[in-house]
Amino acid sequence: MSDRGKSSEKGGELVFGETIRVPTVRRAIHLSITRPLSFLILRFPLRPIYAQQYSFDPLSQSLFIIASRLSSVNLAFARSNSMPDMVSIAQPQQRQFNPYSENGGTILAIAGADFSVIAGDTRQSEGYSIQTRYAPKVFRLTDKAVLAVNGFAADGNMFVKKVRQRLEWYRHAHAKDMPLRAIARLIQTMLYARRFFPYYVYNILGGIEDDGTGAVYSFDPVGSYEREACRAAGAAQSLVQPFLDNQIYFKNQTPAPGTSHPVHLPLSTVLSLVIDSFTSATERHIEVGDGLEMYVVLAKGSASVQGLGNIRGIQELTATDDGERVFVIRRELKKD
Amino acid sequence: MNSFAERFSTTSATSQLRKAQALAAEEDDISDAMWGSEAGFGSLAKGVPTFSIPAVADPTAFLRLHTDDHADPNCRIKIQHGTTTLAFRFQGGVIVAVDSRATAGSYVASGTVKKVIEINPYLLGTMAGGAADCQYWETYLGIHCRLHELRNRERISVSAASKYLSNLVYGYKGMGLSMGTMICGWDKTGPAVFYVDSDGTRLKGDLFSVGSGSTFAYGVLDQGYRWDLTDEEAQELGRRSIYAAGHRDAFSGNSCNLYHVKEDGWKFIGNYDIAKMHYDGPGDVPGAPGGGYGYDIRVEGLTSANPPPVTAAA
Amino acid sequence: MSIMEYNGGSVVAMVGKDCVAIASDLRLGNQALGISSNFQKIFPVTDRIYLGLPGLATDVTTLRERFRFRVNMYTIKEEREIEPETFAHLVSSTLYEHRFGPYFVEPVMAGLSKTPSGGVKPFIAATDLIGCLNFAKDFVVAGTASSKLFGVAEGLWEPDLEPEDLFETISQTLLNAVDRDAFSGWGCIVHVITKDKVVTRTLKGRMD
Repeated sequence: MSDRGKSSEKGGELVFGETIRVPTVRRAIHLSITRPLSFLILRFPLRPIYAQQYSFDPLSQSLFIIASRLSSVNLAFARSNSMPDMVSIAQPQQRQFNPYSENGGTILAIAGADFSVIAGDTRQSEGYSIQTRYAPKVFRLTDKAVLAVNGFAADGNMFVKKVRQRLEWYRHAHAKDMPLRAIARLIQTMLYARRFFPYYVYNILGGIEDDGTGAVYSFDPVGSYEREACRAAGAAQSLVQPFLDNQIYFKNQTPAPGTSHPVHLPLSTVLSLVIDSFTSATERHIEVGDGLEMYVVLAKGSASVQGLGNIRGIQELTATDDGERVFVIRRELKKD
Repeated sequence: MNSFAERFSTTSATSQLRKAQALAAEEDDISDAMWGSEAGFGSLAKGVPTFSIPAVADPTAFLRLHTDDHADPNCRIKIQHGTTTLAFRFQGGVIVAVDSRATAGSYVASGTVKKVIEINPYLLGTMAGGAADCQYWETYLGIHCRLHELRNRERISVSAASKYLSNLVYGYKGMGLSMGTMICGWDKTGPAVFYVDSDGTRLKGDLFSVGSGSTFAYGVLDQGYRWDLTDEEAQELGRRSIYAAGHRDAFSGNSCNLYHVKEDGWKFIGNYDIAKMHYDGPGDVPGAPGGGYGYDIRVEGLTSANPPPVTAAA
Repeated sequence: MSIMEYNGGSVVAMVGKDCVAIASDLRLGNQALGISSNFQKIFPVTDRIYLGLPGLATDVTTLRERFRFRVNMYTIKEEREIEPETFAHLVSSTLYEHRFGPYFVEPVMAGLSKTPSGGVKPFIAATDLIGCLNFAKDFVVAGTASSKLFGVAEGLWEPDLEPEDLFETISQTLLNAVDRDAFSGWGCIVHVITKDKVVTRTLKGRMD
């Protein structure tokens, strides 16, 4: 667990990758057959144990769910069989259940007239340690929707998986891809369904609306959302967002007399702003760096496709012939 | 081994495992409805919302630990706070005015938040507290207002709609919902404003303001409020009150969204930049006196402390 | 709430070609409540050195007087004006004297130092609240909007800007950074220091 965010470390907390502790209660049940009663009391605080420590891969959520359910089953059983009237000579154990971590990184999305750019760095860190230099945070959902997730990587990956599952069901039921605004509402309800046990994930959804315009939707962890033209989220959001306010929305800039600011920027300008944003964030934020992935979603017949031909290392990911096209552009960022 | 004992025993290792597997299978929570055309309703697929709860002894304490930024400013999940919203009833209907800033700590997370939720053409809800709580439950309220119309062949009253919401959030009392909202509309009884919050409070009244900037808004609002305000005067009062709060309160600002509810439903009047109102006023709109609202703009050149701008000579 | 956020306020300084610029917002707040839109945080030390003091307002006022006293004593003793490098160390040692009960201020300095050939060399520096010096070659930031200032400055600044371009760069950096900070803003002031003169301009910023 990171050194920062100390406030959440009251008492012992669940530490990923620590030595396994089999559920205490369960072991005690088996031991109670052979051990003297006093030992049983020692292992049985009168107050319930709030959570056990398990070792598990933080990326495998399903194991975690089973484990936590197991503990509640056993707890209920143990409580009814313990001897509440006995005097405990042990101090009650209390642990905090902390299933969250923060994995750094930054994501960013900008909408154009008939395209959308969704980008994220590929560093995944915990505290001052880099876990991996390549962990994607941006995912293609359909040919017209790309989702970027930032925050706790395990929650993020799980959430993307569940969104993709729902989109697949929709495709089976309706024989078409879900419209972008519907995906946005779906994400809201999916996030809000976890209102009391939130996904610690900041989502940005980018893509093309049914009317062919580029769109960006940004979400908070429990599902409030808004359509915007540009949004940065994650560790370096406070570094990147004011820069984008200035360069995308032309905030605090006065156009020369008789001229006006463009409403929509061309794709080439947007891409260079995205690269500049991430190189700047890499310079000044330790959790940003290693690699950059920029997804470009183009509307049907978008003229911006011409500018994409000569971009180094571009890769097309389009799966259907609906007309929208998805590309990914990868770049290196500083690794220090 | 003894399969009979194993099957009906409640304590053997295999039965424990079997129970765990059954529970793990339930965890998926996938109903048949989600496969068909109902896919897309998220937690509403079963008709009523269902929520995942962490498997801990005290889920509320768990949630508070990880989300409440008053208890712990370093906690990881930040829910947006800070706002100014107001609504008042007068002779010509209801004026609803809100700011558009969302802050997370000192960071201005957004300056373009829509804090008025258009429940249906006759009902508006305002947003203060948890943005997601307000958006979700007021959308949900919209569904039930429509169902009421279909069942009863008449529009739901503002009173009933607000009570529906109030009862709904009361069911979650103590679980960490955070919303302070005004349900505004026009029904058989005329213009109506109800204040509803997540504690379960529901108040009928003429004039409310909610949020961190509400004290500043009340200052202007109380001073200028009369029942017989004209439409233009009332709209100007709403705008001017939000400006005052946006100016003085660090957690409010960016722009003002103004709505007017009349007998034929609500109408969006406009979006007014707070900075523009400060220097130049809201522009050419009915009711505005002309000129900026800012104190040092209004008194420019009138005091020795605030001399007229230096002329071109310098 | 952190004591550094109690009154709000931010300062940024940047290096240009034979010139430096230093700028701050003008807000004085009491937590969320805005009190004054004309609270100066940047003070002239000599004709060529300006000092910005974002942080707790009471310490801003105290330290300003303290530095004025110490610089006056230096000038009398040495019979010459203090150089920016020397002043930076004066700031640092003054703050470190209060290592275990510090002033809640993060000073930012900008000035022009004399070279042996008779020219001038741009100088900027910043310290933390106990006086750890940071001599940067490009720009320094401090205050409640520091992370926002870092991001915009990193994107807009480039080497060898002429005074007018430096003014535009530092103004855009500050205005856009404070607009994303709840505790900074309410107007801005910019000083551009060149060999011959100091140009001071007040900017029309968002007042919310």
